[in-house]
Amino acid sequence: MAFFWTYSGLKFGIKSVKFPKEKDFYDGFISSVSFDESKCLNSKNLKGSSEEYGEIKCLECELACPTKAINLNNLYKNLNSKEKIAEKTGGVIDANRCIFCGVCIDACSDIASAISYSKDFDFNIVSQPYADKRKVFKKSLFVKHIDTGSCGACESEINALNNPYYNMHRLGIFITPSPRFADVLLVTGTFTKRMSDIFFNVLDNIPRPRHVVLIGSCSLTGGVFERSEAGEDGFNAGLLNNTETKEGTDLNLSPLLDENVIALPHCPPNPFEILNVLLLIKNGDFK
Amino acid sequence: MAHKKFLGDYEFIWGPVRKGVSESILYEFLSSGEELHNLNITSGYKKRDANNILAEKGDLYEQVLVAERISGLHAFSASLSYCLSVENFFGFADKIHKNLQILRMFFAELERIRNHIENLSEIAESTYIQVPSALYSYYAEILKQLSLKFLNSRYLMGINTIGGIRKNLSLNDIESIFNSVKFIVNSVQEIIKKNMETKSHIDRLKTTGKIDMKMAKRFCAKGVVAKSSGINLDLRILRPYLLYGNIKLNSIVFNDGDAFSRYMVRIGEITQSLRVLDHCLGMLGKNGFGNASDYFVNQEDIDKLKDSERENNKKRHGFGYVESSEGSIFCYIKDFDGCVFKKINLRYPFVNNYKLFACGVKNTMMMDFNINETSYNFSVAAIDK
Repeated sequence: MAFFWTYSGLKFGIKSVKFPKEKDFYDGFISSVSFDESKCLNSKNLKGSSEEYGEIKCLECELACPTKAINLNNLYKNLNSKEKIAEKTGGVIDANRCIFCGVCIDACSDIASAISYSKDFDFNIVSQPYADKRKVFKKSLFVKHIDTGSCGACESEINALNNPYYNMHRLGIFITPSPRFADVLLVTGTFTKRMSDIFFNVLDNIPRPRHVVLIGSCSLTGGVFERSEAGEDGFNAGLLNNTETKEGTDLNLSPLLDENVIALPHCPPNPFEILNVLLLIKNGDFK
Repeated sequence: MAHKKFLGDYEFIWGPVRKGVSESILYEFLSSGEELHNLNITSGYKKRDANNILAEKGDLYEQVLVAERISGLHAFSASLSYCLSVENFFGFADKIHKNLQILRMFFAELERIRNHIENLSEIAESTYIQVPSALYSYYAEILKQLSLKFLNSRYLMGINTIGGIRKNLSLNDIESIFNSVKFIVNSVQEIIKKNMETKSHIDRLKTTGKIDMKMAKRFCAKGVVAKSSGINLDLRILRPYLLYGNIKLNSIVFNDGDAFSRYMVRIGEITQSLRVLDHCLGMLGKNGFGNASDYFVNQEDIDKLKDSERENNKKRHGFGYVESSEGSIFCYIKDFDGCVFKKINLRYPFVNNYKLFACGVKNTMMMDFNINETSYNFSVAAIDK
């Protein structure tokens, strides 16, 4: 029977994608939610307006968004300033908060169709400003995973990287059971109180240089589990709480101040997105 | 309660951060090396306080989004359970068009097939036969890609809403999904057939993690675990919801209560679910289904219901249930404040099954622990909430 399975495996053939050599995404693949400023009904009012934030007439998408990921005030800033916020955090749609529910797309579809799912290679990845940009890993990359309160979907997507379709082993990326051998820590979940000490214990055991990848909206902002009134202890709200600044939203990285942190949004992120981040770390391609 | 320790027994802990990619849960073993004498399971590491978060949401659809993200692998079943309970609360269930009910059945069965195929992959991996494990996981991946293509979610999230579904699909779309699923299930059945001839696989499953009917009843076992111990607890048959009453479903029950029986229940349910999908497609064709959007419930009708009988809102309650791939998911709701329900209790089957697992695993072989655990297919997220 052992021979049979070897033969079956060979007969089945290579089913792996050629990514990253080719962008051979499957039919229906979605990378992000895109906002078309030119189609938005508010663009005409806001462009060149002297009033602060101008007059926003249509707020359908912003009101509909269950995770408060849409901020139309950023549209005014985008239209009237040279440097676009979109380059940093997604501008009108904050990718760190977006859970891909599509409610905004439905809300806008009968009005202006300014919001749509994007099939382009646009993964909305944000790295910490002072993240290590050198190529620090020469050959293979070993990854350790920790669940700090996820729904299980992010774990399923990371596990999917082992299946023959993505086959991350062909790219020299492996999951390791021990933090001592890890180069990257993948974090999923809302960051619960009971997991916080365990998380820092695991992190301390990973030798430097190391990267921390926060996977999914839950680990960034709490996603749908974010409380309307933040808890006293600040747990269950992800590791990157957004704080408003003059430039737009900025990342509050206090618990991970000295770490190379990469934020990978969406709920859950597609295996292609996770693979892309791991490859960027491996090749030192973060810009 | 402290367990009796034999001479030569030693204790060791595993978790909450375990090998590979797994959810956080703590196992404390008492073993003599070969035999596992006791197991204590500590959950609660990833408790997100979902019940209170549900109550804090601003509208009913936000509650749907949270309900489906308590356990992402059972997103459709959980959100359907919540939606059915809300529709029950408003006395709205009969007003939902039959075609939307059929579509809900269609997606629920799609989720069941995907979860069972993924579990077959994990079971094959636990018995160290890597090729079938890879083949199963490949087909599970194709199913997820199919979901993303037609429904914009790999885990069937964001489909259910109060009064039906949100995604507009045509009959051609449903036919395309069905044909792809049929091809996948046929391919999976070919692998299963060959797997049955692989002695090293089957022998490791047989007699592993055996539980008898008496013990299963004592712990109120649910879903696959109950069915593998000779208890027919399929709510689709016993208390049909949606239009399951129109389909003749056979009970898939095995009596041995071991990992092999659980494996066989999953295999049986994959075939059964494909038959349900076929039946759903046939019913949609008969009903002259065009587009799902033709049957969507008007939001104003739901808003009217919210405003009616306000004075009785405190006294009323709603109840919904769904047979997910791992067992029944119950939802009980009450205290409607005009916008959202302030008390929501979603009960997953894992709460009962994991207690049974902790008891049933005693005096089994330590080497078979992984097989035993995989055959139960827990969602720690659902236990912790």
